Order: sequence, then C-alpha cells, then structure tokens
Amino acid sequence: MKKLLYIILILGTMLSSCEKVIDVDLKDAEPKMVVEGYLTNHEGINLVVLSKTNSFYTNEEPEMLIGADVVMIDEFGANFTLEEIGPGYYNNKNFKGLVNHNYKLSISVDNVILESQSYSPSDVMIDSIKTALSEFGGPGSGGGRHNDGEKEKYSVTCYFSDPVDEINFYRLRISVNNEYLSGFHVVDDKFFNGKTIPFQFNGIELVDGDELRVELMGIDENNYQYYYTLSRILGAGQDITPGNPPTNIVGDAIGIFGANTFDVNTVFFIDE
Amino acid sequence: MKIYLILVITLFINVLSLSAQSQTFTLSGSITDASDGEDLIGVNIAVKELPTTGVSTNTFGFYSLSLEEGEYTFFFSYLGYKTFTKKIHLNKDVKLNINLMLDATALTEVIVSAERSDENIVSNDIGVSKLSVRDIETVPVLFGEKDIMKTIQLLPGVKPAGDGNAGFYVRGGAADQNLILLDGAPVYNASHLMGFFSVFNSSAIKDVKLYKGTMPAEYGGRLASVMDVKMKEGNNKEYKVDGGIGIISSKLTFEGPIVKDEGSFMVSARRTYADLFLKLSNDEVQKDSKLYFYDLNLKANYRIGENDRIFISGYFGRDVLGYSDIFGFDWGNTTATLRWNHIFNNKLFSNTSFIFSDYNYKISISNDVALDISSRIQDWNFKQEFDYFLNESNTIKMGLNIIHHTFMPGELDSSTDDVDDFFIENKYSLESAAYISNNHKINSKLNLTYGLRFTNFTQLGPGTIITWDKNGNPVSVNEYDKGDVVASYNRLAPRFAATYVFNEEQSIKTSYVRSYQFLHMISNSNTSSPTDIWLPSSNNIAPSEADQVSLGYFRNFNENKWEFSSEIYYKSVKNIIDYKTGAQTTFNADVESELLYGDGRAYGIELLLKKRTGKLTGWVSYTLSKSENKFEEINNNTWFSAKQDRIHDFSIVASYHFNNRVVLSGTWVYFTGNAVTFPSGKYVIEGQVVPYYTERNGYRMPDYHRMDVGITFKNNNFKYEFNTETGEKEKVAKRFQSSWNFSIYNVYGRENAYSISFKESEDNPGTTEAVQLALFKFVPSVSYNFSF
Repeated sequence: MKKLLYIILILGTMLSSCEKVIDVDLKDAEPKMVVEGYLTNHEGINLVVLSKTNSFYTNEEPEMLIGADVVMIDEFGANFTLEEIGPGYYNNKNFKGLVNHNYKLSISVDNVILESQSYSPSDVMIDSIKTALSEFGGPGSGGGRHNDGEKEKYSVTCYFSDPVDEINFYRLRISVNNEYLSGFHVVDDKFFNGKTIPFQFNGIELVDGDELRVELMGIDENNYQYYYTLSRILGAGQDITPGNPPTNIVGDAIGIFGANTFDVNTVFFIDE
Repeated sequence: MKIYLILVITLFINVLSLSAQSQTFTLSGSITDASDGEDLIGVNIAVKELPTTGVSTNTFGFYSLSLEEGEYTFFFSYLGYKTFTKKIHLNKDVKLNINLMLDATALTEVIVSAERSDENIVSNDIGVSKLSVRDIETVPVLFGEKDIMKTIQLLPGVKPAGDGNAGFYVRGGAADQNLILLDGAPVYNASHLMGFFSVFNSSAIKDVKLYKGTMPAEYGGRLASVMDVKMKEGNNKEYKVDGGIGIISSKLTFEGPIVKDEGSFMVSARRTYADLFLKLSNDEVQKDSKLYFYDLNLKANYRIGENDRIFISGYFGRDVLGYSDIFGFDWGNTTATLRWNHIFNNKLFSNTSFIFSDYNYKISISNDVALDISSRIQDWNFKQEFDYFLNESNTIKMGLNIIHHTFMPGELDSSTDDVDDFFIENKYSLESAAYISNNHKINSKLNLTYGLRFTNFTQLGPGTIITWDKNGNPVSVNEYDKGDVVASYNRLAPRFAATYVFNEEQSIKTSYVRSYQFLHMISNSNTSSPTDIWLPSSNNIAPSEADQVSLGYFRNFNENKWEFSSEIYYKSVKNIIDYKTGAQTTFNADVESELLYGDGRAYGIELLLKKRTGKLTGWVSYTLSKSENKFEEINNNTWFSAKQDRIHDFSIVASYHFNNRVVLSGTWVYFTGNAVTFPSGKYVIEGQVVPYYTERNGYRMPDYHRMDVGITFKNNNFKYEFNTETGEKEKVAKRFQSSWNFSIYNVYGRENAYSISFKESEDNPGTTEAVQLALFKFVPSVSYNFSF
C-alpha cells in the first residue's frame, strides 16, 4: 500500500505537492506512566525503562521514574529483582530467560502497582544477511541508482528459518555503524510457516566497510501487535486511525513487556 | 420461493385491477427525444380540463393515465422541449408514443436541467439531488476531466472525502454507506487513481440521481444514500461521434441506430495517460513505471415488438499501476446488465433485469520472492419491477430483488516454494428483498408515497465459521456445508414521503425512511484504498440500521428561474463498525475479531439556491451539520465526532454565458476540516519518539477551501440555411461541434492538508513537529471536445 501511495505521491510531487511544518495547537495530556520492558534468553540482556509521557512539543527530557521495585517472576515463582542502573533504567545482569516459558513483570513505583506477563517463544537464529542495491525505495530514497549528491541505497535482507507447527512472531532491528534505523519492524510467519523468512530493510545508505548489525527477536503475539501498531502509526501518511498501541501492562500505564528470544549477527558491507 | 412470490404479486395485481373503476379509459405510451430517441424521464402530462390531474413518465419514458370517458386536451411538457398538445376523445384505451422536439429557442437559451420547471416544487422528492450531464459541462474540475460524481458533491448534504480520497459522505454517513448503481448494477469501487477521478465517464452517462437516505422502497441496502447513475441509450436516429482530448486523458464515444427508431447502441471509451509524466523522470525505475486507467461503456437497446424492449449494458474499467517490473497493481469493476421492459397492458409496466457486478484487485510482486495477491467481490442479481398505474391518483411500484454475493477476501499465490500460498475462505450470502410502494395523489395539494421493503439477508456456507466474543476471543467454531444457513436476518423497512403544495411556487415535504445495510467496507485507514474489502453481515456482524426523518421547504421565485430549498434531517444509526487500534484489516481471516460495534447520529440543515436559466446560472449551497458516533470501547462510551463530521460546508458553482460561444465558470468550496486524532503528548520507546493519544477525533484538520475556474470556447455552432418551406433563412445547428476548455484547479494555490503527521524533527533531533502534506496546488489543464 505504501508503495502505491509513493507512486501517487511521485505524480503529486510533479504536480506541486508540498510538505511543510505547521503549527497545530495540541492539548497537554495528564502525564501517564510508560513501561518498556523485556527479558531475553541471554544472560543479562534484559531491561525495564520507566518514564512518563510529556507535552508533545516540549524539548525537555521525559521524567524518569526512579526508585521503583522491579521484579521478573518465572513460572516456578522464582523472583529476579532488577536494579536501577541509571535514572528509570532497571536491569538484572545475571538473569537469563528460558524459551517457551511464561514470565511475569511486577513493578511498584510511587504507590502504584503495575503488572504484565509475556510468553517466550522458541529460539530462532539468523541464517544469513545479504545486501543488494535497492531497486525500490520510494521517493527521496531515489531507488538506489545514482541520484546526485546522495549515497547509494541498499536493501538488507535477513534470512532466518521459521519453526513448523508454531505460530511465530518476530521483531528485527538493524544498525549501521551502531546507529539504529528508525521505525519498528515486525513480521509473522503467516506466509512462511516452516520456511525461510526473508526480511528486507529498504533504502539503507551504505559505503564500503560499514558495519551492519541485525538483531532478531522472537516475540509473543501481544508484542507483535504492539510493535506492528507502532510501525503503522509512525509510518508514512497516517496509515491508520491513530491510537495508542494495545498495551499488555495491567495498571495505570501504557507500554509493553516482552519475554523474547534474541539473536544478533554482524557483517561488514563490501562494495563490489 | 421465487415463483411463489411472483404468484402472490400477480394475485395482488389482479385484486387491484378489480378494485379500479371500470368506467375509465387509459392513455399510455412512451416519450422520447425526437432528435436522438433517448427516453425522456419525468415528462409532465397535464390535462387542461382536469387541472388537478397529472402524471409523469417513469425511468423508461413510459406513462399511463386513466380517466373517465370524455374530451380532453393533453399537454406533454418538458423543460427545453416544445410542449406537445393533443386533443383526444377518450372513449377507448389509447396508445400514444410521442417524440418531443427540442425547443429551437432553447438552443440559444441555456438548459441547466432537463425537467419541468417546477419539478422541485411538485415532485414528491425530498432529500434528492439530481444532475444531468448537461449540468456539469462547464463546471471546472481537476485535470479538466468532467465528472458527474465530483460535481454532485457540490450540492448540499453531499461532501467530498477530500483531495486524493475516493468516496463521498452523505448526511454524515460514512463512505461505505453509499450504494452506487450503474444501470442498476452496484459499483463497489467507484473511483480511479485513488479517488482523483470517478469511474463514470461523462460521455457515456445520461444522468444521476442521488437519494440522501430518503430513498423510496425500490432501493435498499445502504444507510446513507443511493446514487443511481444511468448510461446513455445511444442515438436511434443517426450515427454520432463524440470525443475529447485532454492533458491526461482522451475519450471517444460512438452511438447510433441499430435499426432506425427501433434500437440503438452506444460505445464509449476513455484512457488516461498520467504515466507520461513519469517518463519525464530521470530515474530509470520511475521511467519504467505505469500509471493509468481506462473505461469502456457499452449499451444497446432494441425494440422487439410494440410492447417489448431489450437493453444490454456493460461497464469495464481498470486501473493499472506498475513500478518497473518489480511491482504491479491493478484493480477495477465490471458490470453487466440485461434488461427487459415489457408493457403488459396500458397500466402495467414491467422491468426485468439480470445484473452482474464484479470488483477485484491484483497485486504482483517479483522481487526476492514472486507472488500474486488478489481479492474479489462478485454479485449475481435478479430484479423484477412492476409499475402499475392504477388510476389517475395511484401509481404502485412493486418488485423483487435477489442478489447472490461472493466475497473472496484475499488470496496469495506464490510461484515458488519460498512463500506459503495463503487463502482466506470465500464468504457467500444471499440478499433478497421484496417491496411495494404507492404514490398516492390525495388531491392537487397533497401527494403521498408510502411503501414497505422487506429484506432477508442470509449468510451461506460452505465454510469454517468462528463466533467471536466482545474481546475478540473465539467462542465456537463450526463447519458448514455448501448452501447451509449460517446466519439469517429478516428486516422490514417502512418508507414514507409527503408533499404539500401550497401553490405553484411553494411546497413543504417530509419523509421518514428506515434503511438497513448488510455489507460493510473494512478499511482501517484514513484514506480509501483499492484494497479495502467488503464484509457481509454474518454470525458476528449484525446489519446496520438507520432511521431518518426529514422536513423540507421548497420555494421558487421569478417564474421558476430561481429555486430555493431548505431541508432539515435527523438520523439515528445502529450497529456501525469501527476497529480496535492497530487492527489488521487486510489478509486477516479473523478480521471479525478486530471489530467494534457502535451507534451513530447525524443531523443538519441544508440550504440550496439555484438559478437555472439566463446568462448566469449555478447554485449556492450551504450545509450546517453534525455527525457523531458512540462506541463502548472508544472515548469512554461518549459521543464523539465522526471522521466525516463537517460542521460547515459551503459551495458556489457559477457559469456565466457571455454569448453562445463563451462560458466562464467557477466553483468555490469551503468546509470544516475532518475530525481527526492528534496526539496530546509523547513518550519514548527504544529511543524513538512515539505520539501519545488521549481521545479519538478530538482535533480538526485545517479548514479546506479551494477555487477552480474554467473557460469554454465553443466554435461557431450554427449556420444559416435557406428553408424551402418558409422561404426564410433559418438558424440551424452545425453537424460538427467543437469546443476548447481551459481550467485551473485550485486557482489561488491553497495548500489544503492531505495529511498531518507528528514526528521527530529531522533537522532538529530531540524536538517534535507537525508536518502537513498538501497535494495539488494550482493545476492547469486544457481539453478539446468535439462531436459530429
């Protein structure tokens, strides 16, 4: 759909469409607590970030929630307490999740109790990463071929094998020289059950020697729904009627908690 | 079942015939245009000796009038045509077919509407907008492409969805609440190129009538409106060619008699070449891209005998879009109508139709993976209608309509093993309706139309049918075989309209209409898209329903040169659909689990002032209205503005005829921006700024306004010929007619917001900003039209 819109926009651009920053008077909502939490099947790779929403146009940093009690609880009732490693950031450097297990998150902060849970899916690893000159990137990205003054654009495809007889959901991130590509990227196995899933990032500017790092997370359906919605809200052209993505946090807060699997693969880009 | 129903109706007709007075005789026949044989709809037949009596021709030009024995003078009158007068001694049934001649003086005048001049006062039509192709000839439009569907949106109560958006909103209803019929066939996606054009090629169209939720019993199936578009029959006197060449499209129409006066045909084709612009691009891939659409309209009719006439009409249109050979996307409608008009006797007129309608889209991708994605909706439709002219004060309409719907929500076909084929089960349903309505002229002042429409909607197997609870969790799963009834709804809709005529210049009208809708368009996006799918009412989705009351005051001034109307309405709607946030509406077999059900209400006042004749013609329209929805899951179950809630809506359409050859025209529209959801805060997820929303549709898009102007130069249309009979020189129309049209869309370059997005500033990371995208600032166009 986006591609269709792009083509229309290309035509529109030729006929003088224009984009500009405008003043829109926005209301100031009451600050709301925001939870962003995950654990993985790797020791120490877990994090809970607690913050509050603030005014849309403000340049101020969001208020972080400090001094919270943050605990992750496994199926057997074992508690793993997360320590505050920075204002609003909580981590347990020894804790490692198990795949195909259910985890609870419990937070107590400012006399508010927040809870959530998530199921960690099967572990899936990255098979390979391939780059190719972008054939299609949409307007601005110029489709990769020699637009003056612009770096060449590439697609980066991450391949991984989906387990059969399971419904799986994935989230991917990519960074080039430690700088993450913006946006959220998810995929499910609806069209690829038990097959190799080729996930493509588009319009990525690369030069010889760049370090490409792709992260693959196996996530549960709630997490998929959350990040899928985010990806559409932040995507081009107000794709959907906007709203807050469906949260799995119970209590007076928004946000997401995920028990994920995690794999990472790093390659260096060679311009042939 | 069908036969049984027909039997019942036949019986009913017999009963009615017996109850009619036996002393009367009937004058009946059809009325056509003498120049091209087109049926004339709504020709007024008046009787000099009985000033309170009068009938008008039906949609096929047929009329019937029963009177007691006597000597009468009949007037057949139609705006723009010479009134035909005939004295008849009615002592037996008389059949009289009439060819009305265009009024020669009218050639120099301007005909804005082909109907009797006080039609708006006396007809029992409330909440109805009508336009004929002649009305739109000079109205300036985007790319100079005359478009009857766009122009009708300039009338009160009808609002365009906005730049780059297909569809329109009628009296606060959503875009999917409009039934668009082309020669009786539903058109599921009436737009081309993301809504910049409608599928109706104006060269092939005769007229359009829009019922703003006030439809009589013969129409049903949508809540907000019925737009009934009729194609031209084709000239049955002589061959004619009509064409136009514009900057982005060209069209050609050919029409003529099959056998003179017995039958005619019309073929019309249109093709755009917007993608030529892409060739200007210096980007290889864009150069190889495709972006065009085409339309083909066909119609033929033939008189098989005195009382029988067969019509065949068809439409085929497609949008084609391709991005190099990597990505292809095309979509379009096909409709076909086979119709049989039969005159049983001088009082009973029958119209039988078989109608096919199809909409589908196909996406082909051949990148790393090669696959085809497609979706389809297909209807087979049988319609039987009877017009029974019981006596001079009662005209009964009754009929049957059975539609078999097939929905193919989505299929993914992969040519390789890399991707799974994917198929969402087809859905089947049967929509059957029976109706009866009577137009009852109580006296010369009071005219009533009352009727009933009964509809049964049945969801049929085969299929695996899941029942969902409110939270979107499955409650039960059942297997059904072919033809099994999954769910069935019976609905009875009363219809009522009344007109009280004070005098020739003033009337008041009122109506009450209940309507039901069994098909729902699923589109969780702010703009319409060819991939929007239709979902039938089912075990999970109850039909939507609406009740609307309206009241109108109609006033003409200055010998009907000026028309004024004012209508108020209130509408209450139940069981409309919205979506859970982030709902996946395409390629989701379980889409019914992502729906929310709520209520709506809409009310407003519509004012229209129209000038129909003279050098200056056009109209001013203003609508003040409100449209709200209420959902348990949205905004804490309080009423909130619907997206299409536009408080003020104002338009001016004006044409100034300097002389026969030069027409200057302009339109100006202004409306309140749509209700939209904007953020009221922000937060950070994984280092990225995310907007925080607190309420649905709590904000407004900026007000929209725009002015378009156009000028039409007609080449010299007349020549002087020596008339051998009178011995005088006469002014006659030349066979070859042509004109140039120049227009500018958005003449003062208003940047109307197409979308506003909220995001982190690219230039200034850490800060957030609102970015407005506007399309179409100042679009000039030129077109050349000809006919011979």
